[in-house]
Amino acid sequence: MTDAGFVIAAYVGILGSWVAYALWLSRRLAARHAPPPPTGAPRPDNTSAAEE
Amino acid sequence: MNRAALPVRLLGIAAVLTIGAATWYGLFVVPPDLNQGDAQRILYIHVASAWHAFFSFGLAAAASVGWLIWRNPRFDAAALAFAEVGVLFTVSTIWAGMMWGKPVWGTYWQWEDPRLVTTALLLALYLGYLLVRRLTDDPVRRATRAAAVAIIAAVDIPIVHFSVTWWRGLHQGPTFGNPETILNPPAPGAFVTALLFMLFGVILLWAWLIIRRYQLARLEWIAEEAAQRAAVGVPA
Repeated sequence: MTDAGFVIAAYVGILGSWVAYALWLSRRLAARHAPPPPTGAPRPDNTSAAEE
Repeated sequence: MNRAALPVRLLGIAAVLTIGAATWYGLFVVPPDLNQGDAQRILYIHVASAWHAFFSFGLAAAASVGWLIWRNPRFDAAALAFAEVGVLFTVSTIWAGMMWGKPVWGTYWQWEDPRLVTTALLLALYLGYLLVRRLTDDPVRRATRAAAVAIIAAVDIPIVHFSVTWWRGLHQGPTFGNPETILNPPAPGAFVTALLFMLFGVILLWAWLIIRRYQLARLEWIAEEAAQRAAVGVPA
């Protein structure tokens, strides 16, 4: 691999990992902030609370 | 969006723009080094990552001391945020170092080099910190055990820093090791500008990541407390 190849591998790897971590954080935070489903609304997996 | 979220969002946007501009400057504006060629461009992101990794772990240990003294969950959330982001930046540091090492040293890694080995040990210690947090569901016990690990692991931070002066190895000595080299850097102005530019961008990104991870940790702690209260029949 040429010097430029190592430079590209370094920057793509690092910037990619930072973006991936930031997206993971944002998704986890969005999930925490999401309001609970309204009472009586159909559950996405077609189960009821009593079945669990 | 609430008013408190706007500054954090602006911080994130500023981090993306600054790191993008610093990457462009380091890759396309700065000339190649006489000895290292284009490989020296890796050092800007390598050094910025390394400094923030060590800074993060130091703050994780400080927050852990805060937890042990005051037993405030905010300290535990802060310690987790610092440690996890520190792990991310340590992996970045090692990856950049390997990509620089192969063209300049002729090898990706050398186990005889004290700086490399102590940095790998630091990564292992804080991965251990994150694993210890998964051993129990009790938030108080988890925070106390993790705090002990963070404080013990922090002993390695000065060892990593001084490893290049205490022992001989492949890794060069500290570039900014004393006030004289800070005021009169032993590198061309364009190289120093690129490093400072990237450092500034990474500071912004680091702050954004810490704030977001802290917010997530606090929400997780609050949800755990609510679940525990519900389990024993105590109203929220």
